[in-house]
Amino acid sequence: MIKDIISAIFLLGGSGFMLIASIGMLRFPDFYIRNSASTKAVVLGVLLILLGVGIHYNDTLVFLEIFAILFFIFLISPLSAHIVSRAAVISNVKFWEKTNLEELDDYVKEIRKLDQKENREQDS
Amino acid sequence: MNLFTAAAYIAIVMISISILLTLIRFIKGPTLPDRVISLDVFSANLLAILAIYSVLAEEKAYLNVALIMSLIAFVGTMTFAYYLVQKRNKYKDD
Repeated sequence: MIKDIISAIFLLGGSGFMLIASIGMLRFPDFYIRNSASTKAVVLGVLLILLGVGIHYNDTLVFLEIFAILFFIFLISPLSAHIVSRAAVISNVKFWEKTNLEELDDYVKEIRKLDQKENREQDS
Repeated sequence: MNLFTAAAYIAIVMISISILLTLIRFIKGPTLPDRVISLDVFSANLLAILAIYSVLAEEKAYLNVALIMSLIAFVGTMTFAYYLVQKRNKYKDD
């Protein structure tokens, strides 16, 4: 009974976080803000839901599988968010007008220089 | 229907609503990276639904499917990011 209550709370909390993540995907003004919001909330939601499922099964093998899934998600999600937003910066996706871009300018200049170098090497 | 089953059904309904919202972003999304991350969130939602459904159907094998799906979603996102960078390098003069 107590097990049921605990895992029901985990499931409802996790699905609430997923819902918050997709509302953020819909409402936020900018690609980069959307990316940050969706990544963090989705990781927490999947963590809570899988823990709820594991508590319901109460089995060692199921917990091993769940820890494998969580390991991959914790490894993958920040990586893919970083890579996609770096690709967005490189391919000139627009920022929100209120974002403070002072520190980014140097990075963008460096990327442009690297691009030119690569192009020269490819041409020659 | 006991308490846990009711909670599982409510959770499935909430995640379905969030899949719908993600699909709206996928259709509206002004740029390609928007669509890529909305596909990412979409696959995470599908993973959560699979995990909950494996409890309702009393079938542990669905968790294996969830494991494979998290890996495939990663490969898809990486491929799209690589394609974005490559496309810019190739058609730079346009």
